[in-house]
Amino acid sequence: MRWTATTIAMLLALSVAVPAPAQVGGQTARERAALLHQLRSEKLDVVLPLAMRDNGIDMWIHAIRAGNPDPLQANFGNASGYLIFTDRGGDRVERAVFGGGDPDLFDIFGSDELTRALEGYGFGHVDPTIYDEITRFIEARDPATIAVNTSGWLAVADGISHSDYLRLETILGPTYSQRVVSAENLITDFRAQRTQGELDAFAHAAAQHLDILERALSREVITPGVTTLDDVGWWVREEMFRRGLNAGTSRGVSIPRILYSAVSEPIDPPDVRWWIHHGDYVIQRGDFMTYDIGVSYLDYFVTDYKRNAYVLREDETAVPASLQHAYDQAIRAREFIAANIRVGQTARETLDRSVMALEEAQYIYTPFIDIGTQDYEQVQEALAGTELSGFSIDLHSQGHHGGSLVTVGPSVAPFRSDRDDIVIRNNNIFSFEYMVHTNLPERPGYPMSLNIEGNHVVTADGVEFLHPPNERIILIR
Amino acid sequence: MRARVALIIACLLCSVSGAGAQQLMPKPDADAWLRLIRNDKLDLILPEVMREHGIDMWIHVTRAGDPDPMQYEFGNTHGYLVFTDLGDRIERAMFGGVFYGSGAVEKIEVEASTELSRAISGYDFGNVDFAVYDEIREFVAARNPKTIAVNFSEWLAVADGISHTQYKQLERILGPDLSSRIVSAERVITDFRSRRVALEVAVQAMTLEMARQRVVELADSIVPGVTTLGDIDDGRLYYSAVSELRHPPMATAWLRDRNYVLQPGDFFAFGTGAELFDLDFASFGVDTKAHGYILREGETAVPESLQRAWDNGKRAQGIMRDNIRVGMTAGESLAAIVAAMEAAGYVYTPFTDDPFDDYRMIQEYLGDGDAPGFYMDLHAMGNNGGDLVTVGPGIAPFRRDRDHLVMHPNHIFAFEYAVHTNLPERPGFPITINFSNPQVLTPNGVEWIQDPNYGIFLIQ
Repeated sequence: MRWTATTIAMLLALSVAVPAPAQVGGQTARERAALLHQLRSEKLDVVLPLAMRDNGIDMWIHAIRAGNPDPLQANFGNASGYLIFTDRGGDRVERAVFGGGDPDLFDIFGSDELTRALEGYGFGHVDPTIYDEITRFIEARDPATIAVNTSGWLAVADGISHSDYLRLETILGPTYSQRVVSAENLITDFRAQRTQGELDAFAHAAAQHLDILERALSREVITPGVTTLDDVGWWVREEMFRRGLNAGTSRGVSIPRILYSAVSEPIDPPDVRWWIHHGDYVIQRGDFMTYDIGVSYLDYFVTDYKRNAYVLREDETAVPASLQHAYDQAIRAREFIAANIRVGQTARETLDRSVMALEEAQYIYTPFIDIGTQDYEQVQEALAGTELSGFSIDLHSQGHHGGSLVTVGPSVAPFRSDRDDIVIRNNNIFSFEYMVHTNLPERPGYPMSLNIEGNHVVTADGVEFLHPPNERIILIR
Repeated sequence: MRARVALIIACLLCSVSGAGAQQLMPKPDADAWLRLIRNDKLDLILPEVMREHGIDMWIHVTRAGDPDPMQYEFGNTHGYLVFTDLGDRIERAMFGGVFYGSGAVEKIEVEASTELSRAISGYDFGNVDFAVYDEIREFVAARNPKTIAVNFSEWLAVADGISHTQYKQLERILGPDLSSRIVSAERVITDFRSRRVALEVAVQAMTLEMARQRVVELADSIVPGVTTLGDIDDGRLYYSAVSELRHPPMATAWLRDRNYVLQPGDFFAFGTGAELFDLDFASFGVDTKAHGYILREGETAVPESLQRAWDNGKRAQGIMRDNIRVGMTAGESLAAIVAAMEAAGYVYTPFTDDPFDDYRMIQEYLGDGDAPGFYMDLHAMGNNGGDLVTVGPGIAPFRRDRDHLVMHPNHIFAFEYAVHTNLPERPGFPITINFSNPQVLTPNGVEWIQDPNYGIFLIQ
């Protein structure tokens, strides 16, 4: 086909306006990329030397294979190959990459030939001596301890694949292989100690979280008698998607948890996390609910905190006294816990002191095992025949994962005892999560367990809030 | 015949604004689509793949907190996902997952006890009686597989998801007899990923259409003397009538500098990414290049020498297309394409994928002759970009480790190659134009799922 004059004229008439970059969450893609780079760079400048020296590590070899995503991708971007950090004294830890990586983050780079071998060129025909370059590099530095990202304990520190580990052993040879230790403690500290930039970025994520959460728990989204729990969950998911906050691709959504209903009965055995919790449940007047969501920001941070709401019944102007009392009991507990969270303390010390303080304040400790139905039975047993409230604590690390056991860092919870010895350091972002259980006259024998959760930071000054904490029950009219 | 092909479709969309383009291409429901894809692959692809490779059992080990390269296929599974060929069906078992459930894998017939699931999730780490894992060994022993594929591979990163500690633990769980039956799952994973169900082809096509709309916007935005190569998603300059070279020439670009300001008389390639779902590292890639030329004062068309070079490239597409068939191995297709292209008068330049070396090869092979040169890199697509990570048949001189892989129906691949032509304006420095656009291979041959470079964008 030939051009016609008209067609050419159309082409020549192309508008010359440069389209404005799309923005999500008030930021362009370029701004987000710059921010991510800044976070990574600061982390290496500020936190890495501390984490290596605190753990007595001379060299950290972090092996990543392109195509096999690394748990620390947030920190290293798309780097691959062997990232080698060596403490040679001074303020800056030497950074080398044998493979690919952001040139602004590293000082020393492997040869092109080695990089190609690591990328897979000539697979099956590569002369194994090409890896001698790494061996010589390590020998020249002669580290007494070499941390490697292998860990039976922490998945986040267990990124090296079986095949890569075997190859690394070959590269290191017997002498240096004997000096290999797990990087699990180093990675824990590298992750859990936050720069000021990370705190700022996390606070931004927490603010977006709060805005979405409080809108979800309002008449904008909820119409009593009409809206299902699934409807609320999907509204949140869509709103996250609209804002460019990674909405995920898993099936299903986080839905509100009904903790009490004036009119509805549960269909499942009672669970400490909820009284009613199925997606097709239609929210009713007289329902009290808690809602836990998480937003992912920059593919770097994940938030995880809750708000509580009550749907007023006809003619009601306030939350029923029994529910308000349960809520007040929960909020009152926060100050006892907060007063016992300090930098320099281990997770276990924090748990013990918090439990002691709350018991002195007449709360009954229910040390959860994190199985909802069994934990609820524990609550029923502990609170039988008493007006006192019970409590459990789960002050888990927060930042790159939700509240699962994957999260590294100090965690104050009876079912996270493997983290007992980890010291809380300055700028530790954590989920200030706990539950308070209170008997209700409307539901004898079935206490209400109220979960209070916020994402905050421990500094040398104590617990500092990164977003407005839970202070009131949201009323849905 | 000189093909001066019009970008009719592109032209018609040139006036579409950014917001308008978004409305033209709403994103589908990722959850619903991924559910269909994942379960169709398990129902339709998995049985034939396991049987073709003689695998009785496939144990896919993942760990919460350590992202799995195959999350696209399985969703959030954490623990031991076990597929067993029972003859009449592939049984699906999942040992693990507490908070995460069994992810997208449906029809799970066997699940772990709560005790085992909690151990796998990390509860009470350091104090767990290892006997809790006997449940897995007993399950495997009862099925007595001769071969057990596990996701470790020195060859393919995508098949190398199991960590070292998890591998050692699996050996301990299975014991020496069953462990001796372990083989790499790399071949199963290659075929499971690269054999596509219909909806995957649709997802790839939709992703490409999103990118095409964005390319039209980019072309629309170019202002000579203002717009940089960086502004058009890292464009590549192939020829300039006015600008000096800033680095040694490369086979991938005459000049590649994000800060270079496009000038009248420039001929370049550009493209853009697109993301239909948030699949991150497993995204369906785009890897498509469009070509543009900025008219100089008084010009109304691309200069004849450049047009001839582009036509040489476009003509090669048809020759190659005839030599890519279902059932051929990548190596067979490579040999057939090279023979056909050489018969058509093209000179083969078997690239090493080092852009500087490859350009020197072009200079050497073309000399001052009129015959155009070529190389090809028809690599698998879908779930990765064009790097060596991508699993599946790859037809390229530097991907010979994939020579033995057979191309199956619905093979999504980047129809990528470059054709080099001497220019009278630049003696001794041929222009090399890269054509790249993912397409799909079916029993009918190569079918277009996107614009296969219909023409050159003309910019004033």
